Amino acid sequence: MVRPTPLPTLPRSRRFSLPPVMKGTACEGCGALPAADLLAELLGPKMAVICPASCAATFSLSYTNASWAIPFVHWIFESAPAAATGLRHAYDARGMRDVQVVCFAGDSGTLDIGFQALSGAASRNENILYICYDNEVAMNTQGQATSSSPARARTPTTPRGVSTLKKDAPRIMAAHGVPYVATAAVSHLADYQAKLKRAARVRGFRYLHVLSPCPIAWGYPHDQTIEVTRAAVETGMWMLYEITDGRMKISYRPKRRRPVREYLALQRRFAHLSRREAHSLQRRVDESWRATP
Amino acid sequence: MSRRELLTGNEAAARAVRLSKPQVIPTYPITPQSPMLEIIARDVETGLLQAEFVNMESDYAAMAAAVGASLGGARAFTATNSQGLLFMAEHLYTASGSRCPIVMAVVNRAISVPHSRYADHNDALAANRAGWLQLFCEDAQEILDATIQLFRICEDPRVRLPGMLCYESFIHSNTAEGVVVPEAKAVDRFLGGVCVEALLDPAVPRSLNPPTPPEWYMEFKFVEHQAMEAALAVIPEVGRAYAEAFGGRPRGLIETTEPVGRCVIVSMGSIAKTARRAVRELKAEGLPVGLLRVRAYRPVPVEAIRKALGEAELVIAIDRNCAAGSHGVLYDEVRSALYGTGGAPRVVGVIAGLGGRDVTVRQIKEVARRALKREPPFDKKEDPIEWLGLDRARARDESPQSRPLARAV
Repeated sequence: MVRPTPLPTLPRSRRFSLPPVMKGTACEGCGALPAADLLAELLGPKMAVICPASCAATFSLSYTNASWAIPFVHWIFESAPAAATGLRHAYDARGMRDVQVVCFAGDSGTLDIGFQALSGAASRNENILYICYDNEVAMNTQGQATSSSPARARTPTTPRGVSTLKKDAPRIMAAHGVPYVATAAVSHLADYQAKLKRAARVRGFRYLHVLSPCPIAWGYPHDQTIEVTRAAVETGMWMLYEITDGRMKISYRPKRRRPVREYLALQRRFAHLSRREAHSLQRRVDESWRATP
Repeated sequence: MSRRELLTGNEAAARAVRLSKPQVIPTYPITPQSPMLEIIARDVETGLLQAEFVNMESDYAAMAAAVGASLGGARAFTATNSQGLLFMAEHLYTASGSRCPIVMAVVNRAISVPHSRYADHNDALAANRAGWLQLFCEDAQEILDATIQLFRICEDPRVRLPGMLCYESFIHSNTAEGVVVPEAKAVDRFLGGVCVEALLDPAVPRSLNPPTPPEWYMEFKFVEHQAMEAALAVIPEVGRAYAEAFGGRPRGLIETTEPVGRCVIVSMGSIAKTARRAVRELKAEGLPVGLLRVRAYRPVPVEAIRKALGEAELVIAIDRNCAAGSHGVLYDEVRSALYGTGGAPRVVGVIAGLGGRDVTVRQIKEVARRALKREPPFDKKEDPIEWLGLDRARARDESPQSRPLARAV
């Protein structure tokens, strides 16, 4: 009789009906938590999550406790979509087509180190749901700049502010011709929920980009996460939309956009901005809305 | 009924894959592994093989997908070499740490710079601490046999580790030889069903790869080490079972000529095949020469090597690999295995065939004769390392030819 050897896996710690994410180990006010919470709640037990190195990978499991009551893997930084590809095909080969394969990744794992794998999986139109929770920095390593950091934001590796523009990930993904791309924000949960549900019904590569602020990196009180996110949406800094089979539809159009400076004023990372710089950001936002159908 | 066919190494590997029926095959092309991928893709297209064939966007993605597939409970196969294997490095450890029984063909090719498409073992050896089994093949027949065997070895519950099937760029991959191909049904019986544990299974939700504290990390590594040690028994066991099922000689961890002789040449891969002929001819001349071919390089068959070299007085380790500032791996492993045994033999090292340089029967015979007579360069008291067939005039650092540069004419 051969004794099976132990493996680095954990038994499920609780029923799925309880809050699936281990809230205690994430920071207070973490914007990634609601993004993960709703995902787990909505897509139910028939899914597996691949989470590359990120804050979410860190708060999702410790050596003694797993917070997801579904198959979950803390994966290598650069290749979640590639691993998801393999897992998807294994499930397909084994007749488990009803299981959702989901990547839940931060902005650096998505847009910097993970970009090649992301583009590869999207080009192949793999039947995967990809969720990027975007806190606009590499926060798992204390907030260094990523290509998703917004113009002028101060980070530990851009002490004078980011000198480039935020990478427009959703539109790059849409340009791959995938069936479903959407943006969301943790201030607009009903919208996020609806988009998750829609994405779950589509076959092929689905990309959701969720603005998920970080009180520590952005520099605001931890009980203000929803307010700050809402300000991003209502000033027009963050646009909520869907691109279904190439057709773009704005999901929320603020009746009167609040001035961008109101959003900037909420956060320490923009405290160094001159009036002129703030004005130029406002102009950029105005332009991007003018260019929107 | 098994049949004899004319197959290149790549074709033999592709045929073994068809017979072994992996369910997921994520791939990325690299010379000279690509002809194998094309055959497998055609097999999947025409229904000869029921599998998910995926054209990945890179070598590291291919390995990531193979691990993903294995975690989903599927039998996975992929192939690469040289730059591709180095690019995969991080995921090689993911595969072994997650105990995924992936089988990968590595068509050993020299590493750039300088750029080369030809054979040496430095690619696979760069991964020799990654927790993968490594079998080095001698000819096309063994490529086919060992590929099938490796699926059974890796999926054995005592092992559950990934394995590399190593054969050489062009020398093996693109050279056709007569190969006995076993019957499909018999291979099914030999392999049994797929035995891959689905660690990511919605029926048993678990979280994989938690941050592991110092109190636990070592235990996981020890368990992995034990699995590798178990493979020392499983590899010959499966080799015997294969010979019983399909004929041919049983192949285990090492192979030796009988008797092994007073002077033993140790090598692996295609050089072992060349050395086999050299040994036969030297024996006919009355010289007491034998061959030890290392087939399993990971796990290192220390006991088998020690036992086989018990009577030897002189060992010549011929390595198709080098690490600047160190020795060939066979030279090191043999010396390490022999250390502490009473009356250990003298060991000389030969670095040969790097970047696909030809290694001939005549050269090996000359090395053996000189080493036996202690003629230069084997006359030194210290155990010497000889670089076989080296052009010393070109190999000076101040020589203009010693930089990997080309000039437009």
